[in-house]
Amino acid sequence: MATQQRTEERIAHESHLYRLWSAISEPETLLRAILEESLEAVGATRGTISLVDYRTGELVTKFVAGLGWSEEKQELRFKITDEPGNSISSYVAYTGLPYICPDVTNDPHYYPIFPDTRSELAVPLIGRGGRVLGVLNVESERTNAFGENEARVLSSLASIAAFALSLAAHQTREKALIELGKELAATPDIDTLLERVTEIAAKLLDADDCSLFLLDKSINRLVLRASRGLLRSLVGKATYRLGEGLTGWVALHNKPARLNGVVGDPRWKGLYLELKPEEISAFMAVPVRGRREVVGVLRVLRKKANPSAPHYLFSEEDEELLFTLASQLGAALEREELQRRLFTMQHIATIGELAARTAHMIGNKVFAMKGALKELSLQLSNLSLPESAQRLLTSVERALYEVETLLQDLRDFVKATQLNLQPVCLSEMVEELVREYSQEFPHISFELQLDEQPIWVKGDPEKLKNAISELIENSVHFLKEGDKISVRLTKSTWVGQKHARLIIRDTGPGVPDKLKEQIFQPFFTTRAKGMGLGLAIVKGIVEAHGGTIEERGREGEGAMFIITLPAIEPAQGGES
Amino acid sequence: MGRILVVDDEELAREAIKLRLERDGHQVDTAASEAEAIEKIRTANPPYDVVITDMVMESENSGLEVLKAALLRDVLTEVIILTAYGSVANAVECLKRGAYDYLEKNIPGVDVYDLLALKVERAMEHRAESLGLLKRLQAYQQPAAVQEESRD
Repeated sequence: MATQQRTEERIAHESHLYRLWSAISEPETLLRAILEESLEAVGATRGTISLVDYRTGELVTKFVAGLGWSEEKQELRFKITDEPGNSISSYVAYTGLPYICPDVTNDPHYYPIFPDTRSELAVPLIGRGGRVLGVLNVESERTNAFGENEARVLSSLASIAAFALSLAAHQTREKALIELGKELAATPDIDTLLERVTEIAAKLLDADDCSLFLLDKSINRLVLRASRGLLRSLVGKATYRLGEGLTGWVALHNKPARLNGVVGDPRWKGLYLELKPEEISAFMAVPVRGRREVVGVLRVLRKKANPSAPHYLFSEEDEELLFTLASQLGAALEREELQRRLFTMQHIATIGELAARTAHMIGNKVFAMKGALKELSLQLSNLSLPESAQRLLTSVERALYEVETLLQDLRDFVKATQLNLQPVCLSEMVEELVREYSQEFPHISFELQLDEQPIWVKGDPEKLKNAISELIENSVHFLKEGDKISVRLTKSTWVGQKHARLIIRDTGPGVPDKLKEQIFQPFFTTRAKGMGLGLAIVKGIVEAHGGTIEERGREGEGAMFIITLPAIEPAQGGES
Repeated sequence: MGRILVVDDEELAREAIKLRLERDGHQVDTAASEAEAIEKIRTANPPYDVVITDMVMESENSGLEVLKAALLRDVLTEVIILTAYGSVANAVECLKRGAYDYLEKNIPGVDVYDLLALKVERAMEHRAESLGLLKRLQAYQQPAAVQEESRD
């Protein structure tokens, strides 16, 4: 007998475990079970679990237990408020505190549904971050049916229900994030991808609108790239300066912002709004981070159900979710950038060839024109030409020479991008160059910082040397006695690809902010002589290697050029 | 003065060079392609003193082909290669194969036609020296044969 009893107990226990497992995977089953259990535990006749609908600011009945529930009664919704007569559950959802009603006849919050109800007990379902998710409510045909004890029992059951709800929500989000990750990796077109991110963010966060701004470095502004609601028509047009408004603040400080409404926040400027400020229940924005810096801002908004509805705030969990989305987006943008660069690298060669051929043809024509012009002016010199005609001849000749100068620069530029690739020990090259330059310019102090491991790249040694030399010479040109140039070479990883990172920094005047965009353009120079192809050629060389170059110094604090190049494993026997 | 062949597929360039060199008293023929140039070199009698040829015409190596034909006809013919952008490497190859000199067509601020005329003068001198040397050598070895060949 004893054995059989143990076996039965074991079976009962196992089926209990099974029920538990299925309850966790099906939260509805669990919530129903909790409600049934609640009635039994506190001796109630009827009960409900209702959930907060933050969109409408209402409490919606989800599960009922006990007798007499008509469809009509089950579909009741209550405004969440502390105003009397809106139901005890609604008041509990508003306060977030348990409520014992010993006698409904004298209770201001009571809303009659069944004529035989005498007393009620309601406890909130509280989720992570203290947010009220819903209310567990039980009632009795007796007055004074529930006391502190019953309230405690019901609260503990409510906490299980709240946990189940949070868990279910969490699982939904996790699933959605995994789906999004797959989708982002597979979306070929960047604009579609940005659209999808805003759609998914809005859906997952139960937000009324979501907008994405990306930094356009050429104008140094955040530009609206995707939006779901009202702002859709402003895509590509709406912009924020860095630091301007909340969105600009998030980008500038690389920090999230999460607020109840926006009215009253000093950062809020209301330049581009999805909603009227007073309609905004909650606002949240996070930076989209690239490899080294903020590349954009992703922001979401929730609308207020009505002016008196409680704020439907974004939780810490919501912020984490938005961050996750933003970081997936950031990685996708980086991949896009990397692909674009490979594409550029392949096409520079083609364009270079075309340019070289064109230059060759133009050069031939110019040569012929020079000859013809020379003979013409010789023949004309026998006649007595007026001085103005002579001047015209001279200026045609001068113009032809100028064309030749341009062609020569173009040739230099094209040549710079035609590479003879081989493994190059960049560390060794940089060390050698710094040594040479510190001897050549003793009035400037050079500082060199190298990784212990030598760094190799696949490159054209001659061209790379030219590029680095040009940068150093460019620095030297602007430096005074006692100034310093520091050169640093390190390795970094970006989108799974190892990169060499060369930083050349000086203590000179730096590049004025308004010139930063132009310094890499051909024919730009602040120096008196030369055509200003120097930095343009450096950029051409670096990009032909599949690398990047940028100037990130501050005006008045010196220039800082950063070059990244795809790194390779050290060549065999290359240590020597 | 000298008998010169100018080879360039750019008509205006051919004419300008021809005019410039004729002013210095040279007798100038022209050819508009590699093929025409090779034909003229083969049939020239006596051989040209100087051949000026563009590097890139039908092919990247047109200048080289013209050079070969010229040296085959008369090993002492002086060949000057003209290059526009991008073909300097080929011109250097020509120097290794026996060209006298090369000239870049587009040197900003330089009158390349005067420069070319100067190079032609030098090439003429060089050829004269070489011929003189050859004559002395041959006179030393076979006085009769030299007389005959130089009249050819």
